[in-house]
Amino acid sequence: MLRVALHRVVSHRSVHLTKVRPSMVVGFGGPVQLAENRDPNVNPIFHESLTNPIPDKPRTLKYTGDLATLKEMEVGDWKKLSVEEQMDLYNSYFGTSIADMCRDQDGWKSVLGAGMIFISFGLLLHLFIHLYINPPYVWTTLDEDWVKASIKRQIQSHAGDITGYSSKWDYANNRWK
Amino acid sequence: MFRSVLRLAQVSTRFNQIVSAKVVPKQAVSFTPLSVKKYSSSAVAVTDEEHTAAWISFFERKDLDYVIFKIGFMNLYQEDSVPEPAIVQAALYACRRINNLPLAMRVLEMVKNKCDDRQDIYDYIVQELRPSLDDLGLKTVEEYGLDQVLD
Repeated sequence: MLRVALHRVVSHRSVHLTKVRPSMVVGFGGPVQLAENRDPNVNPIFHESLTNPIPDKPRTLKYTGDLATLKEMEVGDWKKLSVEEQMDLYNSYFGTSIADMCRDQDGWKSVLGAGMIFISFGLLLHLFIHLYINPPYVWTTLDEDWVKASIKRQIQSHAGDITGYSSKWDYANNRWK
Repeated sequence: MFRSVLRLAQVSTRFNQIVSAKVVPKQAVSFTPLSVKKYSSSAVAVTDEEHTAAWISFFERKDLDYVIFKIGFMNLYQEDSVPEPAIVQAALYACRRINNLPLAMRVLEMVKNKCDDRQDIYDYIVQELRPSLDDLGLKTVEEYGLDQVLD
């Protein structure tokens, strides 16, 4: 199953996450917040990437509930925070980890494959029309009458009078030499 | 070097314009250079010890806050070298001083990212940082699980 990293929605995350956190790459640059659903505690212009790994503001601007107590404990000794609590603080501060930003993405393979399928469908359609629907190509310029008329015109206009048709035509007697 | 100092003087006045007067004194804050690398070959060569000491003194500034830390650490990250363990240690203690645990974890992640595929360099850094990590209550990136990517 190819992974498409851009549009993956993460389920509702409880406060105490497991040690290994799931990735949270949602949309372009962050979770989309509609005006009516906007959570005022979440930073709407949060952006982090490999070129901007330390954002200007955290992802969560105002801490509520259990996270608020964790935030107060952050001022104290960090040894008192368990790994899960430290990960909660991390997840509330950032959106994704650096390993997440660095991983290989497979989305382009899906897009390329779909594009090739559509192009080949179009080409097959062209082939079918050419073989079974269109009448066969007729090269009118290779008809006998056409060729004769073109040679006559060349002789009348004295075209090719050194090495062409006109050189072999006897103009005095109106016949080939 | 002087060009960067001039640029920093502009940056410092801009900071004063943005931040309210209650927080920042009225006269311009004197910035030590936030990037220590010297690019011109005609300038005095900087030894590794001076370089390390300069970065450590940057992270031990009294007026360090999140913004200054971010600018400085990004400059350090953009240098063409993996930072010395002593510099990383100074950065972690700076995070401790500004009471920002996720930032310390991000610092560790960035150091690991800087090592790229040189596992020996990363192992050396972790080995040197182990006492300070224990002192601060931090764990390595692997112990947090931040190096794994779930599908």
